[in-house]
Amino acid sequence: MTDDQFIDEYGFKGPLPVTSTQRMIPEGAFEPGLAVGESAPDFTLPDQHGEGISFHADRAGARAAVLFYRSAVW
Amino acid sequence: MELQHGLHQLRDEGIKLYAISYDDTDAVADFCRAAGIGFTMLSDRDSRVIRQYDVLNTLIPPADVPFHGVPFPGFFLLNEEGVIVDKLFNRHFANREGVEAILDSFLGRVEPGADEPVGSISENDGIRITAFLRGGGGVLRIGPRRRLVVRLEMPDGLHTYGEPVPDGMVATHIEVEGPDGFCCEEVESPPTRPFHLPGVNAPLHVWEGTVDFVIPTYANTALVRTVRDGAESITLTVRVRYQACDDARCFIPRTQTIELEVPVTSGITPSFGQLKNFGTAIEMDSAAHLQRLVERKLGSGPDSE
Repeated sequence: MTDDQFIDEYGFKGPLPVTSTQRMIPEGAFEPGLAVGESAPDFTLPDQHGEGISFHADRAGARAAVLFYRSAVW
Repeated sequence: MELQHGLHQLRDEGIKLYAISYDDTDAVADFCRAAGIGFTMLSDRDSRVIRQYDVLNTLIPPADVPFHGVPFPGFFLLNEEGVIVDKLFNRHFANREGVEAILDSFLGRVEPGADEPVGSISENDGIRITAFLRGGGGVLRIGPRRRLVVRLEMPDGLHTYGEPVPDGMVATHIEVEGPDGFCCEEVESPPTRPFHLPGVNAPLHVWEGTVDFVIPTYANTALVRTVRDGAESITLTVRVRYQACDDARCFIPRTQTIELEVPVTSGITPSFGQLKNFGTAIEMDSAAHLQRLVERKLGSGPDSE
C-alpha cells in the first residue's frame, strides 16, 4: 500500500490529493437519493440542443435510467 | 463514454437514458458533440434537480469551488409508471455501473453479453462451471464496475456446500487472479438451503440446481502500466474448489480452473486535467468551460451558495 497522497484506498490516481473534498469517499451506510418505491419527481431542464425537456412527458411511459454524474468538463 | 457504446442494448429494450450534471448548456453541448453522444444529456446548472433527487454530494462544503454542487454519481432506474425500482450508487465515483447493470436489473437476470469473455468447463461429475465478465461489452477500462459471474450448474441430485462445513468436507470456494490493478471485492453468494447428510451430525448448507456467484471487480490505476506496455488483453484465472455430494455420499473435492481473456482499451477523457485512466482525449475546450464554471460558482446571485 503506497502512501502517495494522490492514490486513494481503491487504487485510483487523480490530480488532486485524496484529502480534497471532491475525492472523499463516503464512509458508513451509503444510500443517497430518493428511496426505491418512491415516484420520481418531474422536472424540466435544457438538453444538449438547448431544448427544454419535461422529463415525464419526454419519457412517455417508457422505462428509464437517470444518471447523475459529476461533470462533462472535469 | 461507455454508455454511448452500450446504448443500443437499452434501446432494444425500450429503456430511455438521461444524464444530468451541473454543467451549463454550452459545456454539455460541446461534450455531446465531441464525444458523439446519442442520448439526452441535461444541464442542471443550479443543482436544483440534483437536490430534488437528494443526491447532492454533501461531503463537499459550499466554499469548495467549483466542486460544490455535484451529485454522488449513480443511476435511478424507473419503471413505466415513473416509480423508482432500483438505484445503482457506489461509494467510489470512478467505480460506476454500466449499461449491463441497468439491463440486468430491469430484466431480473444476468446472462453473458454477445461480446463478453466467457469460459466454461464441465467434468465427469456433470457439474458445469461457467465464468463470464459482465459489463462494458466485454472490454475492460479503468474505473467502471464489472461483475465476474461464476455459474454452477449442478445436475439433479447433486449439491455443493456453503460454509460452515465440518472437518474433512470442502465448502465451495472461488478465487480470481489477475494482473496488478485488477481488483476483486468479496464474493456475493446466493442463499443456501439446509441439508442433512446421513452419518454427518452437523447441519449443512447446500447449493443445488443452477446458482450464480457474483464477484464485483474493477480495474484501478495500477493497470495503466500494463496497457501502456502494449497489452491488448489481460488474463483472469478463476479457480473454483468444491465438493459435490448426492443424498448418500460425497465425491472427491476438486478444483476447476477457467481462464478468461479480457480485452483492455482506453476510454475517453476531457482534454483538460483529470486523466483518471488511460484515456483518449476528445476535442473539447475543457479549460474554457472550467473557467466559466469557476466564475459562475464564485459569482453572486442565484447560482452561488
